[in-house]
Amino acid sequence: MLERLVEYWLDSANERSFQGPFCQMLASQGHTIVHMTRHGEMEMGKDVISVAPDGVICAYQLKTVAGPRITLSDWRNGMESQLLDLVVQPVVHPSLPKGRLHRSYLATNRDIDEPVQHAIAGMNTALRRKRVSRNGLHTVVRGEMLQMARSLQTGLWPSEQKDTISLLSMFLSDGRGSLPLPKLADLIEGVLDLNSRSSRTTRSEKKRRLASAALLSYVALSNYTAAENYVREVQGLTVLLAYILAHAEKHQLCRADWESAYKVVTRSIYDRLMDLQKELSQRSHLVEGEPWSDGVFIGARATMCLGYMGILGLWRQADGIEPDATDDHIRDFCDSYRKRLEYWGESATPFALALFWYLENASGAITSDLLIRDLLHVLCTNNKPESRSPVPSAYYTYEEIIEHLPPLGGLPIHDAFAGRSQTATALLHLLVRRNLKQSAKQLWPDYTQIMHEEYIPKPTWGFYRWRCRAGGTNRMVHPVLTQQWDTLRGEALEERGRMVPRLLRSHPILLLLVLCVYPHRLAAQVVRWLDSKLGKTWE
Amino acid sequence: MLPDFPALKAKFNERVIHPRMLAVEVSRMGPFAASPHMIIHEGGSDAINEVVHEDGTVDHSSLAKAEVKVEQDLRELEKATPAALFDKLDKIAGEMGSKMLARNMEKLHSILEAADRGVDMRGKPLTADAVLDVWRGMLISFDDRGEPRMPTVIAHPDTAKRLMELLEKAKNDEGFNRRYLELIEQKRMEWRAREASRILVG
Repeated sequence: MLERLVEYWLDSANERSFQGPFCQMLASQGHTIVHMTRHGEMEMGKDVISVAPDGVICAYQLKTVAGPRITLSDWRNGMESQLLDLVVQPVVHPSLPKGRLHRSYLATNRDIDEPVQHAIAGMNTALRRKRVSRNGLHTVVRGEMLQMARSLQTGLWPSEQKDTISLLSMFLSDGRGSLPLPKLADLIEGVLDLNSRSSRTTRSEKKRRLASAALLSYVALSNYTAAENYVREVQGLTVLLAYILAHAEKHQLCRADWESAYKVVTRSIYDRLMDLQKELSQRSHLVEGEPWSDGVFIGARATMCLGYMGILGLWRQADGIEPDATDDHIRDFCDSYRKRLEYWGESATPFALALFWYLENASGAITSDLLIRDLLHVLCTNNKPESRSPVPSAYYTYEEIIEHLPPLGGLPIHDAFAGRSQTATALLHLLVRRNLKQSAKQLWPDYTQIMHEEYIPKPTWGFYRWRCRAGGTNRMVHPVLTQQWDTLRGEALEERGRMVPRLLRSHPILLLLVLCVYPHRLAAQVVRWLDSKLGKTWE
Repeated sequence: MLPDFPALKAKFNERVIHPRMLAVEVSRMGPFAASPHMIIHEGGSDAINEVVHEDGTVDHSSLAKAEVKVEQDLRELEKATPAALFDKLDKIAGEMGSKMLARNMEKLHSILEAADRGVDMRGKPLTADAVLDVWRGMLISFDDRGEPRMPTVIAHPDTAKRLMELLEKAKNDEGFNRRYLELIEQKRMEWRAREASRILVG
């Protein structure tokens, strides 16, 4: 049944939705992925560039058509000239040596009609005769794609009924709503066999499990990809990324065994953020879907978009990308919409922090400092022990919170939020690191009435898991009532971030992305470490 | 199988049975009924649970299991009226609440013993002033209107009855009332001092 599902997925995929899995398939065959295009802009006419295990550069163009086969009419209607370019134009990429011969591929999830096969053979003969290209054009067709997918061991996919139902429910959703992240995490954990304590699995099986989990995730996300539901796609890919790192850290895999998969997902996330930015730049409002009830949800949508635009802006700065119109738009968007930020619960804190760090870097400190002060004020005021309207904890997503509110007829969540907070200490430390003594002093009396909580996973790779079902430490801290500023400052300036897992330490932006999906991992020590990498702190 | 209605039953459980059972359970937890109901989302039963107090001391606690075993003859269930069914569920929830009360009392007792907060009456009879002495050693907070949030008294039913009689009688005792008001004022000063100490210095 799962094999049929993959077949169905492949048949219904478009270029954009099979590019990621195709790259994962190549990576699992030992290719190093050098380039993945963002569809919509023809970058160099090459959708994917890789270096094969034999060292030869490979350039792919991904094609799909409406029917079951690529016909001569499809071929003649623009495809031929694009593929000729693919073959004759050299591959130019900063990571690759100039002037090297490359192999060119037409990769399609369709079959190719016989007349087209003849046309390709004729084109290759002509190119060889004219000594333009020795390699010519190769093809990867539907059957080969399926074979590649099967080689990723779909047999490793969890086959229990509940897992199959979870996968099918994601695969069959219209892709416009929320992504059931706990289900996706559960499915990936099943493929990676993360709960197993057996050390008998071989290196190759661990690699296969990784590739298999990646394929499963892309299949589960395919309708969200098709609907161009970028935020949900980013969230799903972030879960996959976290589990790739969990698998690598748990098994101490060598970099070569996981890095290609990691890079493909990272690149996909970046591209989807760019797609989101492009869409936002083309819209004059944030209303989405059915409009009459949308007013209730716009604040949350704006908050998510602000957070992700903040992350994209920081990412581009960190990568040293020369600022252009994209960066201008990100800044304008964050400036115009920052007042629409909605603090639905502590799970909104990572989005607010992404915006904070972005604004601090892009527009200066004052507005961003006010943002943190205001959030802390909301938490300290609303979460006092006797409060009747406390801010819900970071373990509850926006959707879970809103469906329990009276307008939607929900029942109250049976979890006490008053008198507790998971993120107040992190916010206080950000203020103190900026020497905002007066704000900290004003908020201190209310801050000391709240118990501060954190969960420290053990082993540290548990950080990447949706939930750690066993082990670790649940810590609740009652703050000291009278505190010396210097002592507090000493605590706030500590930035070793011992809870931050090893593989995320080299890419703080990805940690911020993970926190947007796993807000319950936003402990004060994690935020201090991130602030040391992304913030502009007071010396 | 026979026709079943799992989704509707789940909704019925969520909306009717669980809230009712929770209410009954909580009602049997006596002084702990007002305790916040917190969910531990991660770590499970083998996680370390740490509470770091204001003075830096750390308490470790473990989770305790509370369970009620139920045997139900389905032939009886088939004939049960809704009222009888709810009675049964109330009984289960009540038993669960009682078990949690017993466990919490045990824990409270061990904490008080360890902190040496017991007051030994040395065989003397209980008096209203003895109650004042107990309160004197406790932290009392005040609400927004300045009214004290008086501690809950937990006692054996016989002792509770005796205590009520004593306090009722003491209401007409001017000396006791003065001592009570003095205590409240002392506690108000202590509470204000404590609240005023919530400062960031330097």
